[in-house]
Amino acid sequence: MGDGATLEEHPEGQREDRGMDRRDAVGFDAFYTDSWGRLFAQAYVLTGDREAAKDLTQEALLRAWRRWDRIAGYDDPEGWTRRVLHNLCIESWRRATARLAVVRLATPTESPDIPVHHHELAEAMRSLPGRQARALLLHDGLGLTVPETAAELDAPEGTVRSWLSRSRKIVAAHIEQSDQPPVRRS
Amino acid sequence: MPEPTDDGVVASALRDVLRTAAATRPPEPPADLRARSGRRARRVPDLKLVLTVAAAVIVVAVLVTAGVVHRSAKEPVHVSGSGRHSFSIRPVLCHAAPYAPSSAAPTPGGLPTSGVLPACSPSSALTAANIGISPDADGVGGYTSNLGSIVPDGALAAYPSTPGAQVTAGATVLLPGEPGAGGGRFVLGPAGITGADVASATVVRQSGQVSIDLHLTPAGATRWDDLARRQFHAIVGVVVDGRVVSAPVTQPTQSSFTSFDGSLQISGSLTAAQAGRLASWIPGSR
Repeated sequence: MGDGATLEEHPEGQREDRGMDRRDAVGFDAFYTDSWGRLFAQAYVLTGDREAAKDLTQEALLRAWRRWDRIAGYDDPEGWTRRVLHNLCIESWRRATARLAVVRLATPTESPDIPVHHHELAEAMRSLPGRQARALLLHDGLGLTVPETAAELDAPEGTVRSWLSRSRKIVAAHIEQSDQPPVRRS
Repeated sequence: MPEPTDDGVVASALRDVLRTAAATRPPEPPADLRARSGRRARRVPDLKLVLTVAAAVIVVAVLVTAGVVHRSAKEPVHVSGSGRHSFSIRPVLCHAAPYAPSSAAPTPGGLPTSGVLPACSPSSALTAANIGISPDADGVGGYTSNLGSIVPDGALAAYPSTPGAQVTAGATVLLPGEPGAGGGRFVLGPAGITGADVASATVVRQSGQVSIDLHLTPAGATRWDDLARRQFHAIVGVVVDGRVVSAPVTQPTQSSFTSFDGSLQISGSLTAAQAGRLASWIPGSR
């Protein structure tokens, strides 16, 4: 609970149903193209899975597009989308426990360029409480200051500092433990 | 000399992943996203439904987490028909209660081990009708089912699991499940395909999850389609050496059966720790 739904206070679609779409599609295209890679990378860090990260990134951008007439005027539309995305990623952790196996058509996707061992970092991130993982990503990954991180997470700065200290130890231990090339079968 | 700190290591690792991943190209052009958004917005006018759609997307992402193919992570495994591990895929008929001989009612004619397994009770049968798979209507790949409310057949507590030597292709068997299949015990029908039907297999390790892509021989492809069609929206059991290693639902996100054309992907809830073990279970693997 908690940090999942704070950005969902406004019902969707009603404005769109009125006919005229006042949103700036060209501006959104540029925003999409510019921000997609960065947002995807954050989702990848938080989920460790390319396909999940893609879906979550698309979902966050979809939500940005729905409110684009408003968000386009913000100082930092990407910051808004990032918060939505991080919440979606953390929420997806909880659902992962209810996973069921499926059998389906084998549908190869394009070749990813991301080393497989990167998922070790994501595993470590998933072992943290959601807000602590977000704090670490924002501060250590994206370079936000402690006050900026605290503001984004709506938490006291002292709390954020102690989260950062604690999560760094956990993640560093995890990385050291798995600091070896991925095991390959021969 | 300053004491080394963890923050440098972690920040460096984070930035490395972020930098690499950020070079990924968007999967679809913005126009498609906008079109999708517009369609959804018109079709889904209230907040509750919008959130449901979002939840469905997340569920899809989670399912995808369990095993979408990533070519760079693929490790080909050469399969011959004479693998040292016995392998089959069978229909799962029901879950069975744990073996409890002391509480079992006496059966005429001696121990139940020697007899034919009784049919699963109607309420425990894992038929498509009981499972009630309902693909999400938004087409993004989620589904709902009654799987959580179907209980194991209690009467089967009287029956021990089928010994390895009796796990023949044509037999109905009672087998234990590996953690990757959810544990417990399974009643499975005759094998739909065996290791001889597998032309090649590829183990995919991604994000601590294991998937297997199987490519079947032409005859195997026909047999598999027969089984999968029969088990559409029901469960098949992947059996290796007398244990159920995975028990996937067949095409749960589709509203009708589609031929597999000899290629299937089994994605499961196996953990990273089980990856190597599963790889060694693939028939003919070295």
